[in-house]
Amino acid sequence: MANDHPDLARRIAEVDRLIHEPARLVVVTILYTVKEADFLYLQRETGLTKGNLSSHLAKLEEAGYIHIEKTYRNKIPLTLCSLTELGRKAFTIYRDQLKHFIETELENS
Amino acid sequence: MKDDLKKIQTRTTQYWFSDGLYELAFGALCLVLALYLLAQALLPKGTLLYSILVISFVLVMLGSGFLLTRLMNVFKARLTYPRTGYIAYPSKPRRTRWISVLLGMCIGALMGFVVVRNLISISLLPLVTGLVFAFVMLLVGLRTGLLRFPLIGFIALVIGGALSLAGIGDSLGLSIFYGSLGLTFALSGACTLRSYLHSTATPQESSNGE
Repeated sequence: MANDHPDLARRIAEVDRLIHEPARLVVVTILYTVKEADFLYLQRETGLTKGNLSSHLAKLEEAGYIHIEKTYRNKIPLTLCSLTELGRKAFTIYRDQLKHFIETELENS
Repeated sequence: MKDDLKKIQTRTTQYWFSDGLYELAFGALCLVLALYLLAQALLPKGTLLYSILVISFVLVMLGSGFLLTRLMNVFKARLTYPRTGYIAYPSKPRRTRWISVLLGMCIGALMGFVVVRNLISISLLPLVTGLVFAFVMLLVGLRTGLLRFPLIGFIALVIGGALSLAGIGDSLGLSIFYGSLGLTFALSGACTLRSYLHSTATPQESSNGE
């Protein structure tokens, strides 16, 4: 389908792949809605293992999309995640691209 | 996929209400108000105690609200966050907060004006209060996607309507209204908390995080 529609292929390729990955998309969507969330909440919502989630969070942090703060609550280590301005902007662009893509393809079909 | 993103955002908004603690706190606040109005109904007007009661209304309500909010946060930290995680919601923009405060004051002033000028019978106060609550609960239900809030709003409307029909509209009527509403919120909160505790695991002693 993409071969028949080069413009479609181009637009699909433009989507931010870092955010587009399903687990990271859930993480970024949650963080977009809140000020900050802890590791436990993100793990429950994504259904990922600790190691898997840590890996995804590391990628997002490396890209500058999220900020990770390690602190303590009642002597128990706590990992807090929040979206940076860059991450917020990236998600907004991604969401608008997706919305435009879906609406355009629905119109064409 | 757009719908999935919306669902994730709605779930995140719902999380604040998932443990029922907010409803328990709000129910307690309604019960405080009910007790206050009952005291106002029972005390003879013109006495010193009555005057102190009237003057201290704002202090009592603000103090109770503050205390109950603190208690709710303490329970969330002990019960909810270790089980299912912690979220901090963004603060509402100052403009939105001021609009909410002004809107609340306008509604209060309008109701006060209507009562003082006898524009409507005082017996209709519980019905009008019930209508306002029902409207607010409907908005909360639409925003959170939680059906129990519009249901509580409907119950508030029924209680208000019943009291107005019975002609009990003064402080005693409002006391019964807020007492019933408080019990409704408390019951809803207790059921939600019970369901939450049953469906979530007790917190492990291992660390939260990587």
